[in-house]
Amino acid sequence: MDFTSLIAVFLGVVLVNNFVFAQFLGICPFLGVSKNVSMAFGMGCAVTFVMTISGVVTWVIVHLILTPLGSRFLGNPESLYFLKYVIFIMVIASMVQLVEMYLKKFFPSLYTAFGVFLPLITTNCAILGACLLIDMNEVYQSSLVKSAVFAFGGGVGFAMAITIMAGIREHMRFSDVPKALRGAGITLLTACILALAFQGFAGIGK
Amino acid sequence: MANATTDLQQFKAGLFENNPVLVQLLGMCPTLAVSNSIENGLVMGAAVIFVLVMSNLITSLLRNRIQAHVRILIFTLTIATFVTIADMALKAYVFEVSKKLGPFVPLIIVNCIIICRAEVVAIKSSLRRSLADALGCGIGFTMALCILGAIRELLGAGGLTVFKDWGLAWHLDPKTFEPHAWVIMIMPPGAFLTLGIVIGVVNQYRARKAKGGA
Amino acid sequence: MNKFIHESWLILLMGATFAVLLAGAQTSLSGRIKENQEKALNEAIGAVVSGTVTTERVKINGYDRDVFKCLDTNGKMTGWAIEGVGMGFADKIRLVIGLGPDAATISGLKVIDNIETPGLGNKIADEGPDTFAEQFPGLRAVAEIAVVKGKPDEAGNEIQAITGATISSDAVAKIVNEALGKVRAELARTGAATGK
Repeated sequence: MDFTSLIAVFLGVVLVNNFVFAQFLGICPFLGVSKNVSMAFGMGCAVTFVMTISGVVTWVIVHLILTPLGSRFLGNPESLYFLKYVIFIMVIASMVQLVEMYLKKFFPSLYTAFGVFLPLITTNCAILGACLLIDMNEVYQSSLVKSAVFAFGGGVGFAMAITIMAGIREHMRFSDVPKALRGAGITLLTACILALAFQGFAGIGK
Repeated sequence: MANATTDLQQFKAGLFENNPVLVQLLGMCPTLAVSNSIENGLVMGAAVIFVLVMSNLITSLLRNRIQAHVRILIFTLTIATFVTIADMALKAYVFEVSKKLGPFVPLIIVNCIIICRAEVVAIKSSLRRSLADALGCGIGFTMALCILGAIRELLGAGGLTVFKDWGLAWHLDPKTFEPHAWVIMIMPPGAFLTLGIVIGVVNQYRARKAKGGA
Repeated sequence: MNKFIHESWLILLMGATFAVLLAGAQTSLSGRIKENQEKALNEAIGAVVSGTVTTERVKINGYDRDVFKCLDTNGKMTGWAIEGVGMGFADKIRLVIGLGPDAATISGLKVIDNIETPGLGNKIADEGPDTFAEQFPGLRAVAEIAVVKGKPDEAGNEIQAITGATISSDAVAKIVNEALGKVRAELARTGAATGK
């Protein structure tokens, strides 16, 4: 496994194709949980954690269970792919439950830090989005390690975006924002400027 | 919406005063991602309406049988199934657009609008009421996407093109405006900018209306 | 046991119904979906190698993408179509390169998938006269293609980069050079053997 290509995958998904600013994944928590930095950071960590695990597990299910079963019993490796989406969402839901129980039992301090965010994560589209993007891109179809790095990087990118946003919003708390734009409006406009800044990273993958 | 008394009011609430995107701020991810052209908005909207109607109908049909603690599981199962069907149908009939929508069709599974309507309305309402609600919210969602899509496509691509390959074209020639187009509007920053401003305008309008009514 | 059935019959029943429904949708639509996917590729091949009616997939050692031998209605060879994939400015670019039967000249180039910057980089996919892709027909396939910013040299196997999208232009040239580098020797050999 060549190490530079892994770094390229990681930087690509953190900076160039950032989940929030370029791919619009995980916007709901990005708008909702970005009021203060420590909460945003906790949420980011929880998402990274679950995303990495779900990305790996769904990859394993598609390539080591669905594909062989399909080609063995139905003659076509893709014949069971219609079950993919149902399986993905079930895997994510059960992963969230498992992680929650595991943390509660073995790492209570970690659980108190970001346990509250875990139930919210099931419907965070960034997680399902990561699984789907891994599944759609042939680079990741062929390599579990790259998929894992991609999922981890996606989480890190999300955590970075939401933490930056929370930092800005903390400073904006006493700004005089027009009434109609308070809340979602000004957050989206700030996100626009951040997204513009992130556009500048495009092309470094080359 | 709690005081919506008739099915028609329930339907209208989804369109305007409880518009899922512009007022309730649900389903933000697809709103931002696929609103770069009217065409994408229409196809995405159709897929969401289909899934929303099916999920609301099934939930309402089974509302007396579903036990409270497994309801989320049942919602998710239903939604995932119909999203898969919608995804296959789009790939079969509007292949080009479905390629542009990419992961955002399967991502309807975690679109909060759908699970929210099942939880808030369908689980405790009659079949007719649930259908009215689903159609209202679904069309409201599509409307919001199309408004954003129209603004972004017009400014960013310099024209509007709807279903060019189907002979149904409603075409404002991009060539006239193209040299002056702001490409950034159909790129990610444009999505945040447009949605932020549109939400601001809607808020302003609602505030004024509330003041006038009181 | 009874309690288990009482608690979960609905989920099991729904699961079974949904599985049947999905399997039904899959069997009735999968043919069409496959057709759509192949249609996009076949149309592209038709555009880059003119006169093509049928294609045969060829395996080239050391190249893991598709290579097609293109034939017209009489079974006469019209050329080769080679699929190329590589990284662009934003994400991967997928394209088809058309070659003459002797694999010595490029007959066309068509970008199938790209999400380059609208209005700049995505001009690589534009069709028609005076477009970026129109510079490729006639170039020599046996040598490297170079990208220049000014006016291309007629004799130098050069193409002009799109203004404001040098990276996308370079990426396309790189994909073409890489693909041709891997297949040209083998194609020239088989082309010489069967083309006569």
